[in-house]
Amino acid sequence: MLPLNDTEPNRYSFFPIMTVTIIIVNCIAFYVEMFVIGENYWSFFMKYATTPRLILNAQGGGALSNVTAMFLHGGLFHLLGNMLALWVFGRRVEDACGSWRFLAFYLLAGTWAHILFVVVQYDSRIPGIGASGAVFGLMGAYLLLYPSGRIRTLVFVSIVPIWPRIRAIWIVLYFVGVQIIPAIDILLRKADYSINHWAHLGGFFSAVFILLFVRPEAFARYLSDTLV
Amino acid sequence: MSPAEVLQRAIQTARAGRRVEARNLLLKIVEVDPRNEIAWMWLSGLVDTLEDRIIACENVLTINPDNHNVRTYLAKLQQQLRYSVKINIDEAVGLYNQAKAHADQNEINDAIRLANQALEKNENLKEAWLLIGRISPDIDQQITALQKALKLDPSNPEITANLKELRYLKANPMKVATRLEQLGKFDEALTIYHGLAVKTKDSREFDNIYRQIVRIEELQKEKIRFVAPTSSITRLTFAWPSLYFSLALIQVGLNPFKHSSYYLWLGLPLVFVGGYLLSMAEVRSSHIVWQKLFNEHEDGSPFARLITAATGWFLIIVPHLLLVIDSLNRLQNFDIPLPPF
Repeated sequence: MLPLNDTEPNRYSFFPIMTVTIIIVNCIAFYVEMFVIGENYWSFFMKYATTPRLILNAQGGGALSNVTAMFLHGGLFHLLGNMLALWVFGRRVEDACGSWRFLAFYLLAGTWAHILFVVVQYDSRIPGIGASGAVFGLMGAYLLLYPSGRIRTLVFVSIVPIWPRIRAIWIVLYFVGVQIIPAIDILLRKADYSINHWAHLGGFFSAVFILLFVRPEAFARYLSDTLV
Repeated sequence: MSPAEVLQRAIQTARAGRRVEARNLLLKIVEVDPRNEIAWMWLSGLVDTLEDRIIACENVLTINPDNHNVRTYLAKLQQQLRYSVKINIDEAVGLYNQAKAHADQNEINDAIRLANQALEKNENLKEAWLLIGRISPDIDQQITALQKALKLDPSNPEITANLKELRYLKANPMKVATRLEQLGKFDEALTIYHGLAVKTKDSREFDNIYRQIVRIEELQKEKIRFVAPTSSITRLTFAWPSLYFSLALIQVGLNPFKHSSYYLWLGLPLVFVGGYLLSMAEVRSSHIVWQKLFNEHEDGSPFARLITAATGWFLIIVPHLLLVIDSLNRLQNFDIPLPPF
């Protein structure tokens, strides 16, 4: 299941300038990671990624590393997956918030993703990177603001590709649902996963803050049970 | 007929019970001869109101200060007047309190009716004028009420400012419509917009008014709930501080007691103020800040908004920059640990 696009138009703004900017910054950061940093990635990640043990001991970049970690990715598919989801769910959330408050919410969701990651995996010395925590925050926000929204999604039935418009709630439930068992596994057995499941859940639950960020017109519509 | 004969006739007419006729004759006499003590004495018993009787008695005493009977009568009249004024004041205050209770429950018509009744009892009741000036939907009535209140309290700067603002709004009806919209009174705002659309001869202005009408009608059609600007400002104020709080929390290792960096927390109130200013610049509302800082009557001119937004951004960015500087300092003294594998 691969979400491709939200087919509904924007209501308040013409173009999702901040979403596109974040995507571009992520791509530039990936280029720097791959072609400038290269072999020195360990010291680079120690400085600019979120490592629970360093965060808890107030060592390293702290808040700055927490932000830079949101713009780093471990591979091309990691980057592409996150950026596609950022485009699909971020565009209309930005429309409801306005560009700068959208950026603030994006950073807030990423930060709470890291906070939950640090709290649960407090002993870990493995650095956490990726925009996925913030993107999960956007998914949660999308679900709160547009509960009846539909997403054009690529689905393979056996080997046949189809791209129906699926209700966002099913897509989000799917992506959140697949986090739960590994997250419990990490919590109970301290299992080692290459995916940061607790950060995903932390980002998703930070979506409750979205109502502080939406523009007044969108908030009035939200309260009126009308399409935001 | 000589004045003495006219006086005689007036006294006979009064004794015959024809009070109005007698009073008219006596008024003619005092018009010709204002120092006619007898005429004033008779008039004091024939005029209708307590105040006029007192004036007549005072005139008698001016002519003849030794007239003890009239002095005693005047004292009685003055006592009666004090008593009736006191009753009127008490009744007026009672009516005003009822008016205020109705105003609190948003029953504007009843509140204005009762406030007017209070003013009939005592037109010097400033609070009743202020109430009408505050709640009346008719801007002319508001202005008149505040003018009366200002006469009673000429040194009150608040009344002066409100009056100035109302006069400004009267000259700019579009602002009145916007103000009503901000108060959630969409029907009243629509009435004003419709009136303006009929009157305007400028096609560009008509287009603008038409857009406002369509916008409000769509809001009404979709039954969009009214959210007060104050509530929006308050809500949006918390957006940036929530981010700063989260970043500061991660900066201190999620434990402000173990890794105390008090200066980071000093940034939080600054970000709050910044967030408040920023949301105030965004949400259109008639805020006291526009009056106090920019001496503006409406919901902030573009210049005032720009200055407020710039100040807000400054107050938000500076603490975040300090956070970044703190992080960079830590990175400079950071010994990179070896990989665990």
